[in-house]
This record gives sequence, structure tokens and C-alpha cells, in this order.
Amino acid sequence: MKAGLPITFSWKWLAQLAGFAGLYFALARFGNVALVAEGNVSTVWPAAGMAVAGLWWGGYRLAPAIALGAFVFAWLNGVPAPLGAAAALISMLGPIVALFLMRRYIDGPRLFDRVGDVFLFLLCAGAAPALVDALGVASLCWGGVGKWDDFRGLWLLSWAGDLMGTLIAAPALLVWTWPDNLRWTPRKRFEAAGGFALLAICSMLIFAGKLASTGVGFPFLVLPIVVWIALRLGQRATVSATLLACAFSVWGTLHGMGPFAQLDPSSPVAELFMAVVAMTGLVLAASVTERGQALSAIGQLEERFRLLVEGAKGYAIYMLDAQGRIATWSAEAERIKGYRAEEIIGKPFRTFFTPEDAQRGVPEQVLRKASEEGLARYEGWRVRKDGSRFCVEGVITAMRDESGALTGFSKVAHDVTDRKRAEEALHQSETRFRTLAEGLPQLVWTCLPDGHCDYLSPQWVRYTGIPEEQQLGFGWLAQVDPDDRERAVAAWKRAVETRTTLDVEYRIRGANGAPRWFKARGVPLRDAEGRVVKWLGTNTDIDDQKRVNELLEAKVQERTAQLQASLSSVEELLYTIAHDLRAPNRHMQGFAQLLLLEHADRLDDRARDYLSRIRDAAARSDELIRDLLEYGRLSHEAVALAPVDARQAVEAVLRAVAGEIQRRRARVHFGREWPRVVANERLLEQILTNLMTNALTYAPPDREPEITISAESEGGKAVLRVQDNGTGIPPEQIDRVFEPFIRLSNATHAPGTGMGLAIVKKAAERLNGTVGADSTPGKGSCFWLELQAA
Amino acid sequence: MKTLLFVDDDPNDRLLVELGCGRAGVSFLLKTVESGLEAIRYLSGEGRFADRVEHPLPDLIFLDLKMPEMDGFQVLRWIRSHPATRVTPVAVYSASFIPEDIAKGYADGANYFITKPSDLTVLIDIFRAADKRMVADPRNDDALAQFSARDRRAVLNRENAYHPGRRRTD
Repeated sequence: MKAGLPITFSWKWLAQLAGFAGLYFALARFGNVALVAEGNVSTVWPAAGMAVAGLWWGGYRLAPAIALGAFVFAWLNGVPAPLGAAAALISMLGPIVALFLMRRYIDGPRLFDRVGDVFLFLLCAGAAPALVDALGVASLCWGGVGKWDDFRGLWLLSWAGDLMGTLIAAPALLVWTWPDNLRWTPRKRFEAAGGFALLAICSMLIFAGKLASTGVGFPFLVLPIVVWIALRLGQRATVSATLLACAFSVWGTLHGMGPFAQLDPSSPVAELFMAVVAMTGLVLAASVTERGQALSAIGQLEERFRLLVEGAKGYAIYMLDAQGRIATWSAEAERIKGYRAEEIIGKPFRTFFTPEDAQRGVPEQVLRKASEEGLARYEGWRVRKDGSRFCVEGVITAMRDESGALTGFSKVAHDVTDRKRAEEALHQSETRFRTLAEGLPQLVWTCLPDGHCDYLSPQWVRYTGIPEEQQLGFGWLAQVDPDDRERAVAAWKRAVETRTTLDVEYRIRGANGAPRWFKARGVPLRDAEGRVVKWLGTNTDIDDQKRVNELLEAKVQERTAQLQASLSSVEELLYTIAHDLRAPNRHMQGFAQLLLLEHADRLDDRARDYLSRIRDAAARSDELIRDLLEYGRLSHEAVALAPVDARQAVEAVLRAVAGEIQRRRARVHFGREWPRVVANERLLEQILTNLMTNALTYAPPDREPEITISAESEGGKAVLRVQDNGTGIPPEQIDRVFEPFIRLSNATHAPGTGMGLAIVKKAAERLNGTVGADSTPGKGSCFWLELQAA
Repeated sequence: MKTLLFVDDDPNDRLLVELGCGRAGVSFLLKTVESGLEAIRYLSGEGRFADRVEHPLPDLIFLDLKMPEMDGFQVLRWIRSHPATRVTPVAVYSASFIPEDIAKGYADGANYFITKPSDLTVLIDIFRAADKRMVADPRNDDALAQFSARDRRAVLNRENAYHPGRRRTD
């Protein structure tokens, strides 16, 4: 906002000024023409009221319009220009002072909503012209237009005109610029029509009709009608009615009719009448407005209070009177207690209590405590209308008036039946748990989710001889054997952190000082969301069991050692036998060969044949000893398993049997995929050697051996296959080929001890694998070995 | 002339080897002793073995394991602990073929582990290979190795069993 004049130039302002000046001029002219008749002059000067209303509505910036209108008016009435200008300034000054005072003392913009404001308006409307008119009349007298002797009369006349104009015209104009605060129903319109008709008729009769000449009291008949309108029909109707009544009064009086016309013109009765009517109307309308606003504020407060009471779900909030009878009720109270408002209001508070409590005088005790201490908390069982019981928890507060006299009680009760039942159920379940826990032979404990012990059964206390409270938390650890403590703590920590079952064994020192072994088991108890709420555990005395186990273990170890010793001596014996048996075989074969080599020419065919048989028998016997020894060893020798490259094993075997392959003119196909397998290299090579040897050996003489050696892996398993095109195995014999000393009927001509596939099977077992064969007689066999893939 | 010392308590085996070497036409001088103790006497030049012209230090030793009084392993350890014989190649020549003996043989310092063959032709091949081995550089051409238990790896497997996960590097 700019400093200086509160005026900023705009075309709109100019237009407003012009319009306002015109209006002022028109009302001034109206006041000068219409309100002058038969030598009487009305004291009402409506232009003044219009000026005040205009400034209140538009602010100081419209003030020049008043001066302009007043100047033009004076000029047209033939007043010399300097005098007219002075009058115009005076006319402008009055409303400016009034506006200044009103803005200062009255909260705008609505002037007549409060009774206090109406009286302030009256003061402002009176005080401003009183000052300014004194100035104006004085200036007239100085100027020589008036005489000082007439000063008082002139001043009073001007002042009364301004005051009356302001009192009657300003409200009529301003109120119509504000929204009406009355809801206009058809009924109200009808009432208004009736009121105004009655007012018009009465006014006519009093000021221009039959009653016009009879007595001075009749004008006051108008008052009740204005009062009625003010009380019932709002501000607009009130100011309009006032205007109407005053207009009749002025008009009748000017025309020599009505009670006021007969009075001395200098007596202010008519003015008083109008002032009283106007003020009565305004004050009453303001009072009605104020009351309406107060009622609406109370209504809002009550609504909020009702929402609060009804919105507190689960809480019965109501009041009792001083005698303890139910005074108010709410929907939640009805829901909780089952009584409707009309059934319960006025009934004593004790209605809700159980007969037992009522008999013991509990309701009276509660009320007495509340009234003595101001407040009483309570919890207990109550009875619903249908007889069912429920548990409430609540507060009852004594209410006192300003003098301290008891006016009643407010009561807030909460239905805690579910909680109470849950608590009772919990209590029962805890009792059950304790009964169970204390009946067990084990030491029972519970811990909080963080691992702190919060319960140790009497068995524990009895066993350790130390009170429970000293052992709660982590105090129990002091009783754990020092050698086991670290392990016990670690196991418990791990269980708590991972929320998994605790399972650990440790020694606990008993009351007699001697430790015993216990097996501790603890499980986490979880709530519906899976959170651990508690740990429940038992410690079982396994000391005797442990001792027996230790004893047994020692026995088993001793026996095992004995067995192993005898086993190795048997093995040693076997080995010695085999070793020593091999020597004669070797010598028999060697010397037979030497005989054949060096003395063949001195022997006949038969002798040479016998010698060959001796040589072959010795060779066979040696082979058999070797195979038997190998088979026996496979049953018990320690086998270390490790990842083995199947390709390397197969290549080593192929190198070893390369001579035989060449001799038999065999074709060998070598697979592409070679997985790593879990095996022992030596055993794997032995298996593959035996299978390859078989494939080469059992080829029929009429065709060249064709052998495919391949492997594949799937699902953690690896299968190695040796496929030949040999004579094949009859289906009924296929299951027996892996048994020791089995030689197939169609293979009797082939060399071998009958131990080859038995060794394969045994070796496969030692590799945690399986062997098998598929065969089509005449076409060939496929031997396979299945191992874990590495 | 190279010398091969053959140690075996079994006269038949000694005879077979002598005859086999004869048939093989080997170039080395074959010396035989009939026990572990005698082998040690020979190697240390005691008594009748003092004459190193008659009984030269061998270039290769074939050693039986199972002998009375002092077995092959003890002889092997003696050989490896004496300066004169510390680097002399030794082939264990035994009827045994079980992995424990093979492993122990290599652990005690054997260069070869040859299982006595029952076939005379194989025996002849072995001593021909031994003949070659003594004149050739074994790093280039080790003819004897093909008769030796290739289960040198058995030793390594055994080691691996104590150190699972360690990968073989040879």
C-alpha cells in the first residue's frame, strides 16, 4: 500500500465517485423537496446517512464525492460558491469523522450483528455530527450568514438532521448490501407480508387516518410490530420496517397530520419516536443475531461432543446425576451394555452391577470415592441387559459447579472382557505349564527371546541347591562345569541367534558339589507372525547313560582292536600262504618251460604235451592265487576315495592292455565325454582292466573284437560303459556273472579264473558304485559301472 | 663290465634267473647271494667278498623281500644308508604284488618294484631290460620301468588319502 493519501487513481474510482456524488445530490434534493411541506421542515437529513453508509462501504476514497454532491446541491440552490464550498467541506467532514470513530471502535464489516456494536454505532453517528455541525454553524455565523443568537437552534437542527438521517438511512442502505442471515421459507415470507401489511395499515391509521388526530400515545402502537419483525424476520426486514414507520411518521407530520403535527415544532418528540423505533429495531435484530450465533456455536460444540462420545468405539461415556442415576447415554454405551437410552436414563447406576457386588454396596462405594477424591478408577464384572456378564475398566469423575456443589458424575467405561479372558486364560495356561514342568523329572527352564533366563523349575533349584533368583538371567552359568561353560554359552548363543533348537550336553554342578552330565534341549516358541516369544527347554540328566556309553565305547574299542589284530594276523597268514604257494607254481612253470626249450628234441610228442599241461596248470594256479588274494583284500582294505579323471584312468588301462589289443587285432572306440568321478584310482583301473580284458577275451574266434568304451554323467551320477561284440551272455545267467568262480557254459574254452567279474563287483562296492551288464546273446554285452560324479 | 647282484634265498629262483640270463644273452656279470646278511657282507666287502675284482660293487641290485634273518626292506634301508651304495639302483624282485609292500618298497628307496613272473619268457625279457638299463641313461630310455609296478602312484594315493583335496602334480 502506498503511503500518503488512501486514494489511487482509476477510472473505476472516478465512476464510483460520480455515481456516489449523484446519489448524494439526489438524496439531498429529495430531503430538500419532499421533506418540506406546508412550511414544515423535516429534521431528517437522509443524505447524511447515505454519506456514512457510503464511506463504510467504500472507504475514505469516496469522501470527495460527498463534497462534490454537496457543492453542486448548494450551487443549484443559489448559495454563493465560497459558502457552498465551505458547506460541502463540512458535509464531507462529518461522515469522515464518523467513519474514523466507527472503524476504531467497531469490528466490521457487519455493523449490527451485536447489541454492543449497535450502541457504539449510535454514539459514533451522534458524536461526529455534533462536533462537525458546531464547526459548520460557527463558520456560518462568522461568515455573517447566520446570527450567533440562533447558534444553538441552528446547531441542534443540523445535528438532529444528521443523526436521524444516519440512524434511519445508513442501516437501511448497509444492511441490504450484506447477505441476510435469515433463511427465507415460504412461511417466513407470508409472515413478513402480514407484518408489513399490518405496519403499513397501523402507520396509515396513526399518521394519516382515523387515529391521526386522537392522542399522542398511538404512535407507539408501531413499536410492537417493529419488535415482532425484528425478533422474527431478520435485519433486512427490520431496517425496512423502521424506514417505513419513520417515513409515515415524517410524511404525516409534514402534512399536518398525526399526533406530532399538533405539537410544538421545536419539541423533539417525533425525533425521539423515530430514534426509539430505529434503535429498538436494530438492538433487537442484533440481539436475535447474537443469540442465533451463540446457539449455533453451542450446537457445534454439542455436535463435536456427541461425535467424541459416539466416536470412542469400545468406550461407554455417559453421565450420572448427583444421586447416581444415569443422566445421559450414547450409542456405544448402548452397544456395550445393551440398554436403549429411553430404558436406562433415570435408572440407578447400580443397575449395571452384579447382584453380588450390588449387595456388597460396591456401586455406592465407587460413587462415594469419586465424590470424596474427585475421581475413582475401577475394574470389575458387570451385567448386560440380557444378563450376560462383561468386564469393564473405567474412571468415574465427580462434577461440581462453581460453588463446589456436586452436580453429577462423568463416567468412561471400557469393555475389557476379551483382555480379561485372555489374561485369565494365560494365567491358567501358566498354572498348567508350571504343574507340568514341576512334574517332569527334567530340569525345566524358560528364557526370554534374547536368551535371558526367566524361569527355573524347582527341580533345578533342588538339584543345584541355589535359589532361583540367583540363577535367572545368566546366573545359571556359574553352576555349569568350567570346562563345558564356553561350549554351553556358544551353543546357546547360536540357538538364540539362529532361532533354532538348542541341543547341547554339559555338566552342571549339583548341590553336593559333584557335576553330572545333562542334555539341554530348548525350542523357540513363536507367535502367529513367527516371532520368537519365549524359549522353553529341559535339561535331562544323562550322567548314568553317559557313563554306560563310555564304558560300552571302551569295550567296543577294545573288541575292535582285538578283532583287527586277529584279522591282520589272518591276513598275514593268508599272504604268507599265497606268497609261499606262488613260489612252487612259479618254479614248476619255469622249469617246465626250460625243459621244453632246452630238451624238446629229446622228448616225444606225448612227453611234450604233458609238459605243456604242467606249465599251463602252474600258470593257472598262480593266477588263481593272485585273484583270490586280491578279492580277499578288497573286502577289508582301506580305500581312499577322491575325485578321479575317468579319461586318465581309461587311457592308463588302454596303455596296459595295448599289447593284447594289438594281438587280437581289436578295434577300440573311445568316447567323447569323460566326467570326473569319485573313486580310487587303483580300484577304478582294476575294474576297467578286468572289463577290457573280458571284452577282448570273450570275442568269438570268427570275428575281430570291436569295443566301445564311453561315459556319460547325469544328475550327479556318472556311468562308464564297456560294450563288446562278443558272444554275449544268456539272460538267465546274466545275474550270476558277478559271483565268484562263475564261468559261463559257453566260455569254458576261454582262459580265466572266474574271479574277474567278482573282483569288479567287489571293487565297485568299495567305490560306493554299482555294476551291471546288458547283453544280447550272439551280438555282444555291455558292462556298466555307475559312480558318483565328482 | 657291469655287475648285477641278485639277492634271493630260494635256490630255484636263483637257478631260474641264472638260466634265464644265460638264455637272454645278457652282457652283465651276474652275482648271486642267498640271504640278506650275505648281501650286506658282499656290499661291504667282508670276508670272501673282499676281493673287488672277483666281487665288484654292483651297478644294479635285484632284491627279494621275503628272506630269513634279514628281509629285503632291511637290506634296502642298509643300502640307502651306506655311502658306497646310496645311489645304486635297486629293483625289489618279489612274489608280492600287494600295494602295502609296493608302497613300502618305494618308501624305503627302491627304484623298481618287479613282481616275480611265473612265465619264463617274461623273466628273460626283464633281465634283457635290466641289461639295457645298466648301459643306457635311464632318463632317456628306462627299459626296466615297464616291468616295474606302475603303482608308484599307489604311494601317492596313500599320501592323498591323508590330505584330501590335494591334487597330484606329476
